[in-house]
Amino acid sequence: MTDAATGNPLPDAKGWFGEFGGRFVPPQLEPVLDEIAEAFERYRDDEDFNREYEYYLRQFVGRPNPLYLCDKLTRQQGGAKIYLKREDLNHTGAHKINNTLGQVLLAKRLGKKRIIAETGAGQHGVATATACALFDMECIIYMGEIDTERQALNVFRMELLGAKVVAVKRGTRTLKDAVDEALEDLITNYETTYYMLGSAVGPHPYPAMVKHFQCMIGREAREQILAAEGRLPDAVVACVGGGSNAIGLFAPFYDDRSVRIIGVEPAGKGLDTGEHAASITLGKPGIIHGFKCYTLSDENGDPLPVHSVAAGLDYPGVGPEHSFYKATGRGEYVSVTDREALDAFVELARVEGIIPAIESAHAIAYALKLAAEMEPGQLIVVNLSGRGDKDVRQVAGMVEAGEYTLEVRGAMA
Amino acid sequence: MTSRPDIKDNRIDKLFARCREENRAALILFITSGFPDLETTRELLPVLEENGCDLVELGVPFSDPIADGPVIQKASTVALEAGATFPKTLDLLREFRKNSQMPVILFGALNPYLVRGLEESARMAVEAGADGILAADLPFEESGEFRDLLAARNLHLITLIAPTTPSPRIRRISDSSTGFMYCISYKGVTGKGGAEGQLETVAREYIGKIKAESDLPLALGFGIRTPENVRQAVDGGSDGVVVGTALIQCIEKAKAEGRDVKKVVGEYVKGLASELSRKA
Repeated sequence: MTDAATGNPLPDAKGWFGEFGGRFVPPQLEPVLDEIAEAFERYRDDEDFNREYEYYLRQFVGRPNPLYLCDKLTRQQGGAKIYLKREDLNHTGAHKINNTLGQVLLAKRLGKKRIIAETGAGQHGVATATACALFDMECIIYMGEIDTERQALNVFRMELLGAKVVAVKRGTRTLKDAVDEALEDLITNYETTYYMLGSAVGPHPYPAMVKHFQCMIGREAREQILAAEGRLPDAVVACVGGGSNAIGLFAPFYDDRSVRIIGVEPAGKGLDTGEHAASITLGKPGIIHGFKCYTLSDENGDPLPVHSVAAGLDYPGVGPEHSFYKATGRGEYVSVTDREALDAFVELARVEGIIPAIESAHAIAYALKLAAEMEPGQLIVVNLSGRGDKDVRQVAGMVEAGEYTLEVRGAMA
Repeated sequence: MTSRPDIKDNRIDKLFARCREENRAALILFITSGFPDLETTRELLPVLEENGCDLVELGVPFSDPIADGPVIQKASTVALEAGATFPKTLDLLREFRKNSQMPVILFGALNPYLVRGLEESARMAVEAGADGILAADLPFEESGEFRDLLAARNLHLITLIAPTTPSPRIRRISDSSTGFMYCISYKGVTGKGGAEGQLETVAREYIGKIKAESDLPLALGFGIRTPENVRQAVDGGSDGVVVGTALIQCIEKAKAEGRDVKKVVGEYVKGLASELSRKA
C-alpha cells in the first residue's frame, strides 16, 4: 500500500517500516493506540477533514510558505543553489504547528475534550497550546521541572494560550520524566483524553500520523522547485532529532531516486566525546519509548545521556522511518557539531538576514559544506524548520560566558 | 485449539498444580533487583520464601519503563545506581537457586534482552535458574520469537491482560500463552489508587470474564497492598495474587526507619500469605 499524499510506502498494519517502528507498549495502552490508529485511517483521506485542515493551514498558519533562494549564500559558496523551505514563517514560527493542528482536528472528531502533551524546550508545548486555544480544548502540558526553569518564557507563553503547565518533579525532572507522567495520565484518563505527540517517534500510529501531518512541507517544496527551476533538486537536507520536519520534507521525494535525501544529526561536542545525540550515526537498533529504531544505549539497553546545543535534537532515539531510510540506503545521515551549527546560525543571520532555529542551523551548516562541493546549477533544498528567536538568549549567554565567540565581520578591515 | 508450546518440568506449572490441590491461591511478590542495593535483595529472597511467598517476580531495573508508577520507577533508578544490571540480577538468582526451588520470573522491559540478543538472553536466563520472563512492553503480536526461544528451554513467557483487553483477544493470547497470565486489575500505572473496597467485586467480574476465555491460572495484580486485599482477590477467584509497589514501600520504610528490614518484610509477607486459602 502506498500513501496517496506522498507516493511512498506506508508502514504495514502494525506500524513497521521494514524492521523499525512497531508498537512496544504494555497492554493498557494498546486499545488507546488502536482507537487513534483507527481514527487516523478513517480521516486521513476524508474530504471534510482535509477541507477543514487545509483551511486552517492556509488562513491560520499562513501556508504555503515560500521556497526562498539564498542568492548571496549561493554566490558565496560558489556551488549548488541553496533554497530554503521557510517553515520559520509559519504562525508560531516552526513546522510543529502543522502537526498539532492535524492532531487536534482528529481529537475533535474522536470527541475528546482534553489534550495532553509533553514538551522539552517548550516548542511542541506552545504549538499544542496554540491548537488547543483555537479549538477550545482543555490543554495540559507536562514539562520537567528543570526545563520549566530553563524555558520560563515558553511556560508563560503556554499559560497565556490557556494551557496548564505541570512541572514534573520526579526522576531527572526533564523530558523523559514528562513523558512518563503524560503516559500515566493517558493510561488513567484515555476515555476523555488525547495524547498529542510532537515528533515522528513513539509507538504506531504516531510516526505514520506525524509524517502525514508534516509532509505538506515536501509536497509544497517539490511543486515550488519545479516551478522555479523546471526540475527536481539534487539534494534535500534537514536536521534530524526525532525527525518530524525531516520526514515531512523527505517523504514526498522518496520515489524521486535522483534526489539525495540527507538527514543531519547533532554531533554535539564531537562524535568521539560521548556528548552528542547522533542516534543513527552511532546507535544500534533497539527499543525506546515504545518503538524500534536506532538508539544510543548502554550494554544493558538503558538509553544513554545525550547532548546537543539544540534542545529539539537532544534525543537518544530517532523516528523509525529515518531508521528505515538509513538501513535501506535511501537516506544519507551525517552530523554537524554544536560549533558548526552555531557558525551557521550566525552566517545565515548575517548573509541572508534570517535567524534560524539552532536545530535548523544544523541543516544549514551541512548544506553550506555540501553546496561548495557541488556544481553551480545543481540544486539543494534545505528545511528551515523554525525561526531562531527562541535561541537568541541562549546564544547570547554562550557568548557572554566565553563559550562561543562572535567574529565581528569587517571590523578588522 | 491452542497453539501452546510444550513446556516440561517447569516450577511454575508445579506451583499452580500444588495450589489447586491445596485449594488456595499463590502469593506472587515483585521485588526490584538491587533495591536499595544488591545485598538487600540477596538477603530478602529467602525471607520472602520462608514467609509464604510462592513465586518471585524479580524486577530487572530499566531507566525508561512505560507504565511503571513513581514508586517502582524510583526503585529502578536507585537499583541502577547500585549497579543492578541484567547479569548482576542473574548472579543473585543463581545464588538463590542453590538452596531454593521457588519459581522466579524475570520482570522488566524488553530492551535489555534485545540489545544482548533474544537467544543469548534466553540462554542466560535458563542458566541462572529462571522459570520465565515477563517483558511488560512486548505485545503479544510481537512475542512469537522470544516465546519460542524460551519454550525451547522450558521457560514461560508470561503474558499480560488489561481491563481493556477485549474478550476475543484474551482468548487469542491465552491460546498461545503458558504458565499463568498476569491480569492488571485496573486502568492506571503500578502503585496508584486501585479499587479498594470493591476489589472483590471487580476481581470477580474481571477474573470471570477472563476465565470464560482461558483455562490458564490467572494472577491478579495492581492495587493489592494488604492481607484484606489478598482475601478480596482470592474470594474474587484469582489463582494468584501479585503484590509489588507495597512491598517496595515496605522495604523503603523499614530502611528509612532504621529497622530490621528482613524482620519487617517477613512479617508483612506472612500477613499477606495468611489470606490465600479458598473458602470451601
